Amino acid sequence: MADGNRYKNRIELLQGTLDMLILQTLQWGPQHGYGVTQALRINSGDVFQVETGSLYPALHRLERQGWVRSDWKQTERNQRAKYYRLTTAGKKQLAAHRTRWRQMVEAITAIMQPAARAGGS
Amino acid sequence: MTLWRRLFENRERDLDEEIRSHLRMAIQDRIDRGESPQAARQSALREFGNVMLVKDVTYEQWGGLVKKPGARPGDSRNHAPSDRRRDGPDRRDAGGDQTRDGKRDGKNRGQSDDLGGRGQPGTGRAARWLGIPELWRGTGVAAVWRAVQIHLKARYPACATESCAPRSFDWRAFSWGTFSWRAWAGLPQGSARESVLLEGRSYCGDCWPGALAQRFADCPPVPAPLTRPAHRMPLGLVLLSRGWLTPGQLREGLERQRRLSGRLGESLRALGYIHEDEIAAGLAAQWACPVLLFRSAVAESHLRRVPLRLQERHRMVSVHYAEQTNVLVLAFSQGVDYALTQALAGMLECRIEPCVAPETEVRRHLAQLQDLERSSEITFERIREASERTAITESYVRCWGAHSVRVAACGTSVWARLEKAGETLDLLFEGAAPEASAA
Repeated sequence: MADGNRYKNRIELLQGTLDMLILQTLQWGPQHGYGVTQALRINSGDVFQVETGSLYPALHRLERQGWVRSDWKQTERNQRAKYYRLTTAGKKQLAAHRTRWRQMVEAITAIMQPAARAGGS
Repeated sequence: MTLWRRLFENRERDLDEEIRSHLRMAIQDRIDRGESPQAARQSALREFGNVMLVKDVTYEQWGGLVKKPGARPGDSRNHAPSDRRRDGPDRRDAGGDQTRDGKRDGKNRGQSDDLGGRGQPGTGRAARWLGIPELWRGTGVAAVWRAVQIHLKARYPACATESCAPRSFDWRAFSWGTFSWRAWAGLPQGSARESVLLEGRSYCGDCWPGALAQRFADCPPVPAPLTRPAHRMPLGLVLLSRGWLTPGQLREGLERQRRLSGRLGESLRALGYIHEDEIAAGLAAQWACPVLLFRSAVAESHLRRVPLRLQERHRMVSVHYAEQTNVLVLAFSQGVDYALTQALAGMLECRIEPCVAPETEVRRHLAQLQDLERSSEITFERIREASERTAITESYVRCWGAHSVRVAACGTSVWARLEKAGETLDLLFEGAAPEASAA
């Protein structure tokens, strides 16, 4: 039953945020595609379930843009997996994403909770 | 053009391997959490979704092996040598790994080094270095070539047999005597005209009969009589604990069962001590599954999910199929055969939910199924050898024009399901395995 509720509580990612979330996940170290999905799921408290149909195109797009690089390596279980790691350009991009995200959160909060903002100020 | 195509295929192989590794890890995680390998595989595949779709949308991101947007001409050329130096250790690792896997020979590895720069499939650095995609981009030729690729892939699907996999074309060893346009185009070596999907894997016209024979050899019928496993509570005790029987009645029922060598439930019913629904409830408690009391009629399409002969033999009936959740409910009248449910789950590619139902109801539904027209079911009696089953199935595949075959051992029967354009044909081979009957 708990599992059922967990699945029910899952929500779709906001459009345009997947790249930022992947870059954020990779800032802690190289990770393979499966690891990225697990990290996103666990770090979001089981709220986000990234579809592989979005994840792999996003990883390849980020690689094409030069924000991540990939290498085949052995996992802890001695299996081959393609690890993605953040490049210098990717780190800069992540910083830019963060700034934009902060601005967006502030703007949306201002619209959605005008009273709270007025009270706070 | 050949170089471009080969680079594209390298990236395709790379993506295939990446998806495979994702699934391997997902399956292993589930097994570690206590799921059975079969269930783990199914749930991992379900969670992953449509593999072809994932691949297709990922291809779109490549844009035809493109360079970094905004990169100045010559940037990648300047970086290429340093990239190669930096990737030296990786190349050694990759070479060792491939040799260990035994999947690629030395010649292939050498070629990949020339093209990909790391001995790994699909790095595409050489292409970026040469600036080839820039030549193709915007001319429309890339789109035409992609269409040709899709056409060739559809016409000559890859063969799952390793020896039949596309061979790399080596210009250094070129001679007109040994020239193969298929090798040049990177297509499977076998005849692709009559390719068949066997257990979801594509085999070319030359390879599928061998693969089918192997599949039948791996699926011998298992004569396993349905008996109560030692760890389940005896039915008599279940009924006694629920207060539906007195100890005296149970003793009498057991005595009658010993004399007539039937089933305890039948003896108790014959003596008039218990109702059939109570026996079903007791069996359900014994097998830890729900009871089905057939409050509504069963649709014909649900009954037809499993061949009649199998349903009769296992005293069960296919009562409901939920398309949205991909679950098939099977009602057993004499206890659940979990080996059968597992085989059916693999065959029908769905989850099986077993339940227990009163025997009269199961019989009534089987009789209803008998009255229906069943031209898509053919039963072969006393087929004991795997080679016979293979030969019969092979001839049906050829004559009927099936494009997909699945095989499963269901108790003493072997079930082969053939499919073509939405139609199915079920071949059921009866007869215990020779080695099992000898034992």
